[in-house]
Amino acid sequence: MSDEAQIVEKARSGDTAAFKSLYDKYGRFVWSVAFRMTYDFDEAEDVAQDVFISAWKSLPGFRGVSAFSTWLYRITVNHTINRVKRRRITKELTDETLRHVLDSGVFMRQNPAAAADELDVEKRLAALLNRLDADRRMAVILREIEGLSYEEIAEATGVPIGTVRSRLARGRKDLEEMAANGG
Amino acid sequence: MADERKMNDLDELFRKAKKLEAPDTLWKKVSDGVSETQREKPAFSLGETVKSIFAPVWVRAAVPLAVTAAAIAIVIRLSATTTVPEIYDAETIAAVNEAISEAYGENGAFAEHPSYAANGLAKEDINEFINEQLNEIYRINGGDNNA
Repeated sequence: MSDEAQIVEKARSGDTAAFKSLYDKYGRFVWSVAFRMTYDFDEAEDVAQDVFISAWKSLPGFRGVSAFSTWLYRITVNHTINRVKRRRITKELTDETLRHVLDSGVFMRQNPAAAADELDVEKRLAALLNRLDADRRMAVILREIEGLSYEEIAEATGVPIGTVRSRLARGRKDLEEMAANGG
Repeated sequence: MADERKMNDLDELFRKAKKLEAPDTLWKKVSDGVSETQREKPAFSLGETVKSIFAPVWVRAAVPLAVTAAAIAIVIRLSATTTVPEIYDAETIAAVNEAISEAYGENGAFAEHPSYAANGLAKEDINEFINEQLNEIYRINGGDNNA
């Protein structure tokens, strides 16, 4: 049994220290995906919290058929997409709101390692990602930023690999055109 | 050339955008939530055993539905004190017949047994588990419980 499998087994049986180890390994991924899908600091925290609580709650039923990472990626995608799609009915995230969140300084305080130019990069990225639909945006984030394989994205999003390829190709094409037109 | 530059610009943006970390406040929120969360009960581990070992035997032997349910009940009960191979070797069908009265009792309801509680199982858990298994046996059996 791998080290991670042993940690998962401990967390499964209720060991919160083991669960913290899993959080330490995957917390960055979960929050990062949630943040780049919402570009709302508080909302991203809420989503990430929901993901880990859901994982904690469901772990006893986790049979280890897939890797823990795959299972957690899927929970992350489901929670985030649900939140984004639900929110879009009542609240459209505007570029103005986006600039406000990024300019507020919260992002910098929480992530002191980020230099000003990195914040500028994030602004440019946000301006582009914000114009993609949720499914393409998720695919692009998982592949281009988080570095997941096509297979991992297919499992996390619950769609065939062909659909993943299509979303990525179209998402990249949209982004390239937007970038060429000044974002 | 222009297309290549567009791709390079985008790749450069992606490359630089990998440095986000979770905020320090997140773990506190998660741990607070975890401490208040009631966990789901573990899946009953005999499920796969029943499906892979017992169900085919019952189907082959054309064991009626009610007897099958009783058999599952006794498998659950025996599992508290013995191992599955021991049960399997001890003439399953005979055990099924012996199980009927104990499992159902006089009023047709599944009987209470101390080992259920010892296994952390409520009567509702047993009923739910048996229903799941019956559905699976029904499916294996081609939709005919009396086959």
